[in-house]
Amino acid sequence: MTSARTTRLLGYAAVAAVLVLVGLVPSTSGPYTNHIFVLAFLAIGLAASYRPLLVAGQVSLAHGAFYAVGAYGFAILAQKHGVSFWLAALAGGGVASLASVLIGVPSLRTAGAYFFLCTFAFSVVITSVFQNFKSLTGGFAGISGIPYPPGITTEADFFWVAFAACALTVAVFVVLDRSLWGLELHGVGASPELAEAVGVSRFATLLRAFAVGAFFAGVLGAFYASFTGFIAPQSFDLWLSVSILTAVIVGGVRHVWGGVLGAAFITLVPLAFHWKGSGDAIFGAACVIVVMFVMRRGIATELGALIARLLRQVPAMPEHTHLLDAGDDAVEARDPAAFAARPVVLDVRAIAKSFGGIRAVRGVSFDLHEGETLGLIGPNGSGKTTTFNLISGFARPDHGEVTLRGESISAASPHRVVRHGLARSFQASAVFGHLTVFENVLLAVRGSRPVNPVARMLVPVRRRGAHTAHAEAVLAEVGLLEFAAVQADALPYGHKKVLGLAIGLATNPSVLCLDEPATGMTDVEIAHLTSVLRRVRANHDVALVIIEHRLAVIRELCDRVVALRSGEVIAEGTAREVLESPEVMTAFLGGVPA
Amino acid sequence: MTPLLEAIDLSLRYGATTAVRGVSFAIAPGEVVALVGANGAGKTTTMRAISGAMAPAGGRILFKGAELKGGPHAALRAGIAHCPEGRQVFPLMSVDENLLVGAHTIRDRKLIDARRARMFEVFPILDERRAQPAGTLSGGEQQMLAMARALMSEPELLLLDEPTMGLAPIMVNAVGDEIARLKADGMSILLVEETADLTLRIADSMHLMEGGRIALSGTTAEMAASDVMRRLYLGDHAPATPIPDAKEPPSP
Repeated sequence: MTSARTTRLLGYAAVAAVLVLVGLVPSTSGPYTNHIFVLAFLAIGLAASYRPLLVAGQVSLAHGAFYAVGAYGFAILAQKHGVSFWLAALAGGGVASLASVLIGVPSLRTAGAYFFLCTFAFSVVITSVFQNFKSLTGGFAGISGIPYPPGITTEADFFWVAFAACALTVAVFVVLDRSLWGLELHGVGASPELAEAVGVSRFATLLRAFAVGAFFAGVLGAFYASFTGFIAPQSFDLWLSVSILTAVIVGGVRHVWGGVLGAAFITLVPLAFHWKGSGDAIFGAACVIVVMFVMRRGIATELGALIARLLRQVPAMPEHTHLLDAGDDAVEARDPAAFAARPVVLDVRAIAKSFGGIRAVRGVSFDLHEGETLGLIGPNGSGKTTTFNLISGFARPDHGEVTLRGESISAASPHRVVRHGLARSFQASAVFGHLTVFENVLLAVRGSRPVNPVARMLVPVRRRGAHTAHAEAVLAEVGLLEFAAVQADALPYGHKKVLGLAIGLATNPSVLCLDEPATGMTDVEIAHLTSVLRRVRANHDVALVIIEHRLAVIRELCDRVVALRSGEVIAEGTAREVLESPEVMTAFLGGVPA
Repeated sequence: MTPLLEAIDLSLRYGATTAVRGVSFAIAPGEVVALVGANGAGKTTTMRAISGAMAPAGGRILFKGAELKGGPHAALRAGIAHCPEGRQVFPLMSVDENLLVGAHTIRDRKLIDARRARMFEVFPILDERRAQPAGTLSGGEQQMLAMARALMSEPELLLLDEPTMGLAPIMVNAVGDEIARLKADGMSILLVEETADLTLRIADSMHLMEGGRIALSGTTAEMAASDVMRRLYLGDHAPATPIPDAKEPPSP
């Protein structure tokens, strides 16, 4: 029996065991336990629906507020206006989702604490609305007489309703986590800049996670209102949002079952011991501290790692870790002069950029023809990387214009630039650290192969044959296929650089900008890198712009070279012409004959 | 002569992956030792263990005869400064402040000022940028700052992990000259460097690492002549002048 099958069987066994245990609860225990389990089911659903936003790296304090908004929306429709139960519950979710879009659109564009504070403010404001908008919410008296679902008459019956709501929510978010949609969330959480650079919009990804999560929180809120029959402003306090956050962190943010296990743990354990009052708050806080010390990645992640170790499934680093030695040198018939006849694919006109008082780029112009390879050289701090940032949408030029395939991209955001056909790599080895090498490339492939939005959310990543085949082909092309299952963080420096190249290539660009691809490589490895790049440009007819200090790369690959100093072009021509120009010798080479 | 540093049967692991297996070598006072080899051979990992950033899974590290224990702080106090790979500077602190952090084990203000003045002499661009937050420096400038910061602590043993990574050729030469000067002043250095020219010019002895083990050791002259070295590290590269005298660094 393969170990993958063992894991799957263990998974089924665990689910079956949970179902049996849950099934025993209503028949063997009294109303108190029953009541507790209903609340625990709702908490588990809340944690599962909150986790995606946390995966994408944003902390919200509004999830409890969306639960409350859903509860009120449902109660007002079902109790006061006689709308049918199921329609009112869905409407509760819709209202919560709408509220999340209203606060998400202005606040998710910025990074950092701003979004967190906005969600906090929303929680405070919404409580005040519940208290003061008496005609609608009943003020402090709240709303009572909220109906049960049709056909349900006792609390014991409601146990199964809450369980079904919880199971459905968890199932939805497990499916989402395994889809391309989930992979995008993990990517944005690992590195928002790199996610943008492969065509994933950070803003849209976060907003989707926020809105979908809020919808499910709202529907769960409706079930809560129905279960208790009475809601008032004091039914929902800020502690609810904090406890959801606590549950996901204790369970493990990055594990698909993290929210579920965490919420079950922190709700059921204190209730099982009949702790009252602040007992559960103290228990939650203690859990966070213990988890931070002994299970830094959360209960689910650590348990998963333990099981994988016991079943010997840990993907080990290949014994043979040589970089790029799969290279069979492609023989190239290349005439640098011939490119001048082909159409211009990238046109950079007099771009300039200042940071504070420093004029990093002062009117740089060059063009790039289809299939051509252009080298960008210059001393440290001469504005090469800033030029890349201006071309790829990571910074906006103060003056000048960048045109890609006839369209201006000066004001486009990075994910639009890459979708239009210009990809870039980063100087520091930028990879999606906690994803595998394969997932890193898959995320980049995603942008180049559009899929309809519903399928993107529902189809598991591993079932996407075209995407996975494309990703494997790219990894094979750069010689990283045997590292596919390795976590990107664990790669040696040079391998990360090559992965950066693979990520750029996987977006299927017509222009690929490489920022110091050979940094940190030995001379032997550089020889392999140049042969890989030769193969890449022969196979894909892609134009390359290469920033590099290692002269071997410039001499052997570049059809044309542009030299910068202090943000200005000081020389342009063939590699030989530029490296022999007196200005480049003094500024870049330091008088060493090229 | 008693070695300054001795690694004895050192093994290092990341989780389940063994990165370094039974590596032993020594550094004599005033000696420059280079670890060379392909990416993933275990050079950086070995260096991290010596700097205290990583605890050995097996074997020992002796510094001046005493076993090194207690993490990076203890190693720094004992006289080992680490200039890590990949431009690790404090991005929100100014260039000046970054240098002061490097000198936090020194009490004498005059000595600190003298060291800093020296660093600005070696890396004039850092002087121009001294009030700027380090995160706004270009990649190469950050590399220079990281090296300058390590030198601020006046170490007895300097660990240099890829000191020329991402530097333009003119700065590779400048950094190379500075390392040669430090060597001439008697500093012991453990060097990991991809640029073969520089390694051959400065190192006294070399260890070629391969798959977490030391595959070949020798003096720089012996190693430069070896076929194995040529295949795994040097490529078709032939040093322009065999081994110049490191005490007189060739003028750029």
